[in-house]
Amino acid sequence: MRKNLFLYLTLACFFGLIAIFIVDGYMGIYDTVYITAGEREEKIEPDEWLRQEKFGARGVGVNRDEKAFFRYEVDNRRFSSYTADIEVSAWHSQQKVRDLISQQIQVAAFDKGQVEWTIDNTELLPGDIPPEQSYEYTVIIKRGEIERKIIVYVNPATYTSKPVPVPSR
Amino acid sequence: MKLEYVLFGFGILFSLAGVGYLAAEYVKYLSEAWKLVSLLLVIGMFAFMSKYFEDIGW
Repeated sequence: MRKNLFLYLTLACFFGLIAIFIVDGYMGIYDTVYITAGEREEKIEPDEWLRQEKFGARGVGVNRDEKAFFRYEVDNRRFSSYTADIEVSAWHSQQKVRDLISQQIQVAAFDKGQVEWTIDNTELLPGDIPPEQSYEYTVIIKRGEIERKIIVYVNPATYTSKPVPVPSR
Repeated sequence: MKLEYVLFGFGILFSLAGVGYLAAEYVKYLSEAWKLVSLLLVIGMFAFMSKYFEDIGW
């Protein structure tokens, strides 16, 4: 018994580690955002939300005349179903520009649910912003008490050179 | 006999790689407190394993 005591303790530590990885690392509610603009799809994975607390919100670039398609996926890795109110809004300079979506989501145990919405930049941008100027706004996703932020950079329209008048001699 | 040891070596290597990959995949979702507990358990695991090998005369 004494001979194998340390072997049992080693195994206990190993199974303790596995238990922590399952309970704290796998189980829970995980949310992922997919943003498609033009031909590009960007994915914001659950671990990025933790990094955002330290380094700030993730930014995505969208061309001025494009629509941005958002898909918010909630992965319920629990033994019970999950219900939450999802509210999405666009903000600029700490002011709400528009409510984008507000709906309840219900996800069964070990299942995924998703909410989709579209942002049309031509509707969202103020009219007095010239095409050659960039713009940015923040998309805030509220899921119950949890808040996720994504900064959307609207690229300026393609620069077209203006003909310079030739000075008269 | 030597071939068996080579195969054992590969088996151990693949097991460690698999466990390492899974650990890297899930460690990012652990909360800070459980990361610390996991670190202590890893230290404990290697310490007890060393003690076990010492006891059996390695």
